Amino acid sequence: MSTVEAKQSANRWEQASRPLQADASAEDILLIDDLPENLLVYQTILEELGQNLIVAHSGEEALKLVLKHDFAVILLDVNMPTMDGFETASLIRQRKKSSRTPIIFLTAFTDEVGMIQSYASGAVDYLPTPVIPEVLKAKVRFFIELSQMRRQAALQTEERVRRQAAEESARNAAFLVKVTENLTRTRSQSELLRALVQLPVPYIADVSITWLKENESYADQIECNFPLGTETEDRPSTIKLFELPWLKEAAEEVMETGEIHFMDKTPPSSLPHSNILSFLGSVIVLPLLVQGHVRGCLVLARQRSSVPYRFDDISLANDLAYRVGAVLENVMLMEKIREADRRKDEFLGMLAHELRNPLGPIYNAVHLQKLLKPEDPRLADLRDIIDRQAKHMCRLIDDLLDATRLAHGKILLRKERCDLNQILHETIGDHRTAIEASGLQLKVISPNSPVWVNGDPTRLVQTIGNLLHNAHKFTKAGGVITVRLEAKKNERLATLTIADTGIGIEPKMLSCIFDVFRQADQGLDRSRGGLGLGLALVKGLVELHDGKVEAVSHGLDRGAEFMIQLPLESLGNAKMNDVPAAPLSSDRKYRVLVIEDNQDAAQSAQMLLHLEGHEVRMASAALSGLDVARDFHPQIVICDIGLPEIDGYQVVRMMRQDVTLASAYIIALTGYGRQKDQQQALKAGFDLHLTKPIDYTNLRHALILADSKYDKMEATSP
Amino acid sequence: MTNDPSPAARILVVDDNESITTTFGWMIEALGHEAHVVRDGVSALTEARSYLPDVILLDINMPGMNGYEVCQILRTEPKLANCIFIAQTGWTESEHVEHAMQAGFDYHWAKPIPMDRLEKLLNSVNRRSAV
Repeated sequence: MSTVEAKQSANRWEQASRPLQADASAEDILLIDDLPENLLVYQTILEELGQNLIVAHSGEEALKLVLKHDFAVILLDVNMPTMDGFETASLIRQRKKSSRTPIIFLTAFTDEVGMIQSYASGAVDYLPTPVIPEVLKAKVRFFIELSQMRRQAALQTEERVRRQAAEESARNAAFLVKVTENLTRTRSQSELLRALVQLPVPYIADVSITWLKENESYADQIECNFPLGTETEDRPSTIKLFELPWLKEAAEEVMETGEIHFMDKTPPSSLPHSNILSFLGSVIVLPLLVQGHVRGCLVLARQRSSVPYRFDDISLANDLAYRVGAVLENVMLMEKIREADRRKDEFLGMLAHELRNPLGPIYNAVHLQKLLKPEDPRLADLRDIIDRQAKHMCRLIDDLLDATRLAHGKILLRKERCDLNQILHETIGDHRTAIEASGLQLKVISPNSPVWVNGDPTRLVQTIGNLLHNAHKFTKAGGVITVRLEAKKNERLATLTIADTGIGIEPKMLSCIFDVFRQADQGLDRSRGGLGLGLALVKGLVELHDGKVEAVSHGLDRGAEFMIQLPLESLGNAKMNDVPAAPLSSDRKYRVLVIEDNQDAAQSAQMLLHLEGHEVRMASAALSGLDVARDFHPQIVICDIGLPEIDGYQVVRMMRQDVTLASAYIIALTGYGRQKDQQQALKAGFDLHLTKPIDYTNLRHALILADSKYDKMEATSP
Repeated sequence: MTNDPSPAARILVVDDNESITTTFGWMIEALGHEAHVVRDGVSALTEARSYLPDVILLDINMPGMNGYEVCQILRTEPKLANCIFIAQTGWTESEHVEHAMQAGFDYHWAKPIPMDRLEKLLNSVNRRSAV
């Protein structure tokens, strides 16, 4: 239909109050007549209405068409062979789709009986034939408009429903945004819980209850929220969650299964009438999940007088719980990070404290050496003090580095078949004097035969030493330390227990006694000192040996017992020709060049080397060191890394390029004992990496390694 | 010149670390002053009341009674009204200094204690008691 026609028709149909809509899609009109010439006439008349005219030549054909189309109006010839108009009309009416489609009968018989019959069979109108074109057009037009109006109304209803849904979903989204906003501001689990419980009321619940399960940092925490306007005295003053057995059960089930629990109705309550929980109607219990684990649950409840929860509400509640879980995970992570940060800060403070402690006596002793006369016998005591305190500092620093290495999985064991029994006795030998000097008794019970394990002897000495040191440190004079070693052949286990009669361990501390930095918690009474790393190292080292360690204590002042279990080495694994022990001292005498800018360190190294009978030259910088080297042809070079001008890495590279120096045994000397430093030194071309301070033991160790290099070189040279 | 037969300052050193007490004792003597040493808080109370030192060099972390407690108690002792209390500790955070001041210490010195500082203080005490 053109615009002009639409306007015209609108004018014509002003009486009908609503014009035909020019933009409405064309309506389907069904024309049924057995005479093609009639159909042609109707088509011609109705064509100008611009609708889809569909024709049927029989009632049967028409019935098929009404199944496919939704006709605005049906024109039906009454007088047809086989199935007449009345029959066709009542069959059309019987189809659900066309039960209300307007039918106009076209008939030559305008008698009353015919009229009554046509209305009875479902007609809404009838037209006598031959039709008057204007009348036919007007009637059909009326039904088209009616159909269009109906469609319009249906569309509007649909639109309204859609808008309502959109509004609800917008409200829900706003609610969830508000939830997320409020929760992400919280900084702890308990804060989050308190914020969370406020949010669902009144939007999605009349009463909300949150419950966080006990975990390492928190006890069980339950929060409750009630609608505004509830009289204060009517609110349960304490958490009444468990006063309702069904609610408690439901919550526990959700905690157990991690699945949402929904109750349409809740059992009658025995609570007093004033208690708001006695009015609960439908209830949703949602799990709060963090990485798939149930951390707690959220209970949303409506009072009996409110609308019960529908599917949409449950879906929103589910969304809510999911978001809470995500925020909870963040909060837990943040708490963990803050806690680790706090522990680290505490540890750094303690580290400074522990390092300053031995520094005091060293400092004093050095000053006293200046003040006392050379013949004063106390000078020897001062040397002992310096020796003892310096060793103590070294041990602290070693422990610290070991703990760092352990934490990064960088401790590499040099495992070999070794006798744990022998290692135990050697370690006890190192500690016995000190332990007995403190007035403690040391009892050792061990088998007469070797206890073979596959381990790194140095690390096993360290492990046992740490435990002995620990027992010593925490046991007062008069106490007893009992060490027992057993080889349990059936279980293929070596068991070493070190028991003391000391201050013991509180039950709540037992579970975390092997944690790094744990001792930091002991507060002001740090009289026993230490970094609190010893036991963490023991655990780490034992685990690297595929063993395990346990602590047992019956409480404060009731002593403690530590048990290490290591797998016994089976005889089958043992090599028949074990590697012979390394020689204890070096017989070779070397030309040694020491390049070190620290005068004191250089001099002490020189003195030690002289005492061993080596020929020593010194240089305090890289370039002068290289000059001396070209002239002196050292067999061993000890070179500091942190030199002025050119660093030690550069020096070793230059030496390796010089034919006359390339084969020397070159040792790096640094203040850093980290794995990374060692690797870097070896990569640069050093044969060995030594950590400062350079002392008798590590120098001797270095010389023995140099021996083996020269032994090999001699063996391969003709 | 004064009538005081002993112009030396009297120092009480309290520390549970024997190396500390020994070296401080010798050093104070080498500097021409007098030192008594004890190794726990309770002994410090008794010793301070009988020895009446001019200076108490007090460790904080000791088993049993800690340095703060010792200082608090001795501060109420009229006979020690002029005594100088020095906290010597490895803790150097401001909260520790604050704590020491509240407990009644005159100074909070971090270990190791610089010798010249100690010497200066002892000499000033010496002059003060000499006046």
